[in-house]
Amino acid sequence: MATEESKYTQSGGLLQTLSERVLLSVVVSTRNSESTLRQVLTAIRGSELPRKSYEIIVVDDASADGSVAIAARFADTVVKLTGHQAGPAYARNRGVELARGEVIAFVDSEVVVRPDTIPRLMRTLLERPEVDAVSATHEESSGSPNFVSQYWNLLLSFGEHRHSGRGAQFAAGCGVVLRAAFLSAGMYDEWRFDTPSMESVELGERLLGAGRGVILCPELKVSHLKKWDFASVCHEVWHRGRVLARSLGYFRMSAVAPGEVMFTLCRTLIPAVAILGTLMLAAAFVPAPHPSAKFGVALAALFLTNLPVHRFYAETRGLWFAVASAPLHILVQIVAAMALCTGWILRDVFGDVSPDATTQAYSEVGLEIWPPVPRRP
Amino acid sequence: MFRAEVDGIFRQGGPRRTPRKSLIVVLPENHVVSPDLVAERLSGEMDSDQIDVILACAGQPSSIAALQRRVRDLQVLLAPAGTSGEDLRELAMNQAPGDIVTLLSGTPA
Repeated sequence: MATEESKYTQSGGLLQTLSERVLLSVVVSTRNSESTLRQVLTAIRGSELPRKSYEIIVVDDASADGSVAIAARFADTVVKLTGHQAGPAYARNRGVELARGEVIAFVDSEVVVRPDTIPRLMRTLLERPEVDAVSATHEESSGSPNFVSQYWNLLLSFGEHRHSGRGAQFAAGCGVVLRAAFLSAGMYDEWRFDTPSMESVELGERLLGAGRGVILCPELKVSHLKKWDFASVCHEVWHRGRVLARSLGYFRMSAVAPGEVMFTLCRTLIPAVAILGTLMLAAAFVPAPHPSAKFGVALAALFLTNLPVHRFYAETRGLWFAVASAPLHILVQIVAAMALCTGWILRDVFGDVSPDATTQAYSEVGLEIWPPVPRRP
Repeated sequence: MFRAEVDGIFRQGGPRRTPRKSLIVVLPENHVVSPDLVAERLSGEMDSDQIDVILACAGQPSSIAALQRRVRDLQVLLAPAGTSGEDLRELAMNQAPGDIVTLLSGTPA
């Protein structure tokens, strides 16, 4: 069995020298994650890092289950937020405020890291001065074996791998950022993002805008335990699409974060609609085409524009998985398109997202209260 | 006007202005607590006299008098002998009133 000293030497001489002080603060925000939190925190504690070199801070976002009790078994600090759900952006910011480390790692309460994930992310950050934030990508196989979870996980993975190494892809699933860079960028936007959605992509964009280096490491993968079903995937896509269109700007974000799953879903819609439009126009000159022919042409257009996604599914899971996922993919794309349209309409009618009137009033008078009033970045 | 109303809410014992903090010191069986360790941790806090300190022990603790002298209002949580460190942490967390709870091993590493 390797001694503690030799184990850390294996994970990098650089880290070995840093064991005397807290270098890294691992911030885990959680809400009703009783079923996964133990596995998540056990994996973090199993990281190939000297125990003294890192601290674990769990911020509980008003859970109604036993998340706090589980957190107590593993964490160095537990923050108990009360009241209504404040969102992961808010919770992670509270964790960073208490952090003693110069480097902050964010790990989702449904993400299991490998023993070398955080050390390798740290090494990338410390050995490459041009990089200020680095994230791991999704494992191709989801922690949950059901079909929809596998489909969704692969879709997330597809975008990350096609556009890895560039763009504002700071992934909160498992990402490491220099504390100074995080603070200078204005932390997470807890003002606008009170539910889990695009807050990490938005942070990545701000980091890039401030001249910071943000990269995604395709060779570092983490396993997501969340079990998805059709309804939860649709809800996720609906929420992300609305936030993207209403608060972030579709075209601006597509330039800086091309690997985001919403762009994987929507990028192919425009050519599909163009092809369909052209075919419908052409059909006007064909005497009474059969309805099934029209339907077939529409499906063929969608299939052709999504060919890279289907090919990716076939390569990683086999042909039958790719065939079976095709109808689901089309349905999810339709939801994504509706969400974007809704977001654009909401933006035109109501403007950007903002907290409720009470929160805005508290913020305006600079009220000191615990938990603190959300702040603008 | 709004500010005055808010101040009134605080005076009536409504929401707090600052988080309540707790420090849990976990002391496994047959270990002696290090008061210096606890004092060092408390010295880093600006309002250290307002922190609830809970000593969670497995079995009957020995030599906690020094810690009791240094920490006013020390709460001692006695768990049966053989209780694991993780169980002690969980038990103590259930008793901790703080919004921010720091968990500390009571023995020097």
